[in-house]
Amino acid sequence: MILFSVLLLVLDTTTTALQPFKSYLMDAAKPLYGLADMPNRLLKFGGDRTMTKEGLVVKNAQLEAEGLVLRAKVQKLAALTIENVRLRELLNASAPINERLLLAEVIVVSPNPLLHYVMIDKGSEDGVYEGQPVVDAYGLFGQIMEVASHSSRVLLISDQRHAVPVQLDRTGARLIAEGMNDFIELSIPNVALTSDIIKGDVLSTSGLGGIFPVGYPLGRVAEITHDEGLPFSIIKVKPFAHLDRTRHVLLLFNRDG
Amino acid sequence: MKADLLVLVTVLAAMLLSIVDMPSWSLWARPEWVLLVLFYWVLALPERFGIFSAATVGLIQDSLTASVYGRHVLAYSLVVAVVLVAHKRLRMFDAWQQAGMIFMLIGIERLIKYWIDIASGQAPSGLWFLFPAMISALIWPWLMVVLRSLRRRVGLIRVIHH
Repeated sequence: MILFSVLLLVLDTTTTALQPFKSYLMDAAKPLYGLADMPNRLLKFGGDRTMTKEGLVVKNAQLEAEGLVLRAKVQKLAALTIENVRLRELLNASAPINERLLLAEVIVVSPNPLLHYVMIDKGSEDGVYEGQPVVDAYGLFGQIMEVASHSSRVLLISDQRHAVPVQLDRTGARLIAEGMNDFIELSIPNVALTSDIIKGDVLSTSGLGGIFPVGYPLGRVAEITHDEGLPFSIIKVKPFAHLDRTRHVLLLFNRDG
Repeated sequence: MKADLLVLVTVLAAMLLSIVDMPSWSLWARPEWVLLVLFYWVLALPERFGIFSAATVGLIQDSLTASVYGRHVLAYSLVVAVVLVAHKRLRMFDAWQQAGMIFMLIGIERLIKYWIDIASGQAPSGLWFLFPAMISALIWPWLMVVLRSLRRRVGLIRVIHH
């Protein structure tokens, strides 16, 4: 049995031979995930059913106002898009790939505090692919790390094995944001003590690395420590995405097919 | 038949508890439900449940928790092997002595999993990984009572071999 498990370990870490079997098991376990999500669902269901009429009216009014604001913003965005396309044509640059979106619901979050992932209810049947970028309503969320036919796992930007190429909106400086297994803090390594970066700077994806499309907001610089004894500044970033609370995420299709 | 169903249901329930959503601050306090239930059935019916059952459950657990495959298989089968060898002695212990053993065994299991994590690229994270072993040991006496009463209710009495 020891030999068997060591064989499994080696196979899984060095090859992708186990992939079909893994996605098969993931599909087979789907009902269990659904059951594990039951408490959340029931809570939401109960909350929805027992809301007072006044509460509903207030909520409705809020949503209407929000819808109005968003529609106005979309109008402006449409105008900006047209302008952008025209400018790009003037510059002879290639047009950005048309981005398609897919809404997915989080069904289970990682039970292991050293492994930051969530499971979503869309899989290869819906066109999800490995390495696909995921955002939530507030900012960059993560990327797909494992796909089964009706579910997949999203590696969060806060996972310690994850890093995103980003740029500072203010100066355009290119940096890397790494996860630290902390939902509310990312770190930026290897930044020289003299570089122009201040608290409150906003970071967005830079589009380098080929996984994340350019321009999705990542977070805000929350803390900078300059220690003359260290070769680099210690920089902490607070991500915009609600990594530990979001129920719905958006999958971006930024490659063809 | 009814008995097999009980074992299946308790193991499934334990798996469910091991992935159910918890507030992120309390994640380290999650007991090793699956291993505790596995220990109970191995202690109660060592002639029916052993290393093979442990490995099977471990494989499913690997899938459920997105681990490297083989992580739970190795950890579970090793500690269950220890329980299997020592089951006669363990049965003689009272609940709290057993809990002490459970602490050691789950500590070993966590350690094996921790080694595998480190070997597959996880950064070391201090001694927190041992905390669930303590919680599991504290839960064991109560879990044992619950499972025992369930077992007696379905009439699954141990056959004693001499």
